[in-house]
Amino acid sequence: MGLNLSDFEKSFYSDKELKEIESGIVAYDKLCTDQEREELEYSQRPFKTFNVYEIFEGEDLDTLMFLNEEISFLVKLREKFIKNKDIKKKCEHLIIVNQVAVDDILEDIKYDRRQIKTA
Amino acid sequence: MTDDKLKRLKEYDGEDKVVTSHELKLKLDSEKDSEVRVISKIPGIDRACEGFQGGELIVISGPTKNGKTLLAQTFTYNFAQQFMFPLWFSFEVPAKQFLNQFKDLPLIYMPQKLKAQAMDWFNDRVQESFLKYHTRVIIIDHLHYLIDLARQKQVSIEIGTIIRQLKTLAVQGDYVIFLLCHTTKGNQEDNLSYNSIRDSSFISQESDSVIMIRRTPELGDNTATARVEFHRRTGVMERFVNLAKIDGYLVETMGDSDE
Repeated sequence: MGLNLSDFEKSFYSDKELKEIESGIVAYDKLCTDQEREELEYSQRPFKTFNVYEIFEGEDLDTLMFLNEEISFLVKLREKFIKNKDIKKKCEHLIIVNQVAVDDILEDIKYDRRQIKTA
Repeated sequence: MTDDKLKRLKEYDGEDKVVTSHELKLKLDSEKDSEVRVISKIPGIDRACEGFQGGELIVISGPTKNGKTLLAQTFTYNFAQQFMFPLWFSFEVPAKQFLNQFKDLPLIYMPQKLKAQAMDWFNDRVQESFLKYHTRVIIIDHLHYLIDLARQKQVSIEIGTIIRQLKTLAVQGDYVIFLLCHTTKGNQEDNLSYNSIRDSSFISQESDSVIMIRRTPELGDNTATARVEFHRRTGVMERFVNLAKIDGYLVETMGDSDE
């Protein structure tokens, strides 16, 4: 595209500054062109099922890690307030809820891995 | 001793200063007791031990293939129901086989990879597990993987050192530590006791309780007897509990268990 300034606008810059601006514009244009080309290539590649399940598996493993961290926090909280029946009971309930969620996630991961294998 | 030193000792006020029994009791009474308490859910063992508390080192022993690991796994399953999820060091059984042995795998914690004969590594893993997961119960299967038998000339003394380190760890960290050990005697010996524990008398001397387990084929298939040899806190001695393996875990059966 190049530098598109009027003579009046150009008068604010030295020759060196004008050259830097122009080379910056050229570099930016090239960057945009490269990104557009990559996006076009990505959108046109054949759809692979296992890629999706790999992404699901990754997300499920992250969720699993988060749930286990929650359980650890609740165990610590339960111990700290062991004499408070209300807090203790609530912590225990939430630990069980998280454990059920862990079981569900484990099933999802097994399913994802089966799909990856058969894809 | 110089006059200077005598003067310093007379005025000494460090945290390890000598005090009267009454002062010490008042101080200890004002401190919080361990909040770490868990029961085995095997009634006979719970009556004998009154549960397990933080700071205790419990030894589980018996002849090979007589149910030590199964008893520890039963404890693990029952502890998990009380929201106490143990840290396991399964040196003897490969991890995959060990995890497959559980009927319904409870939440437990294990090092991804084990390093035998390395107490520093062991201490680091215990601390790591506490910081990450707040684990209070530790199970070690078994003791002889913590020492290098080939290199030690005086195995008994080395074992004594390790036991004392474990007991110190339990007290300082407020952990409950279960340590599995083999005995010297075979299955058929009648006079199995804590004196039969292999290699060192320090094991029973330094631990808070010893539970011996032995199969009892004469009483039926998949049966065993656990005997709480002694318990330092409750004062119990030689309390028998009859067990049977049902649905993958040990449960107490009616029989000649002690009251």
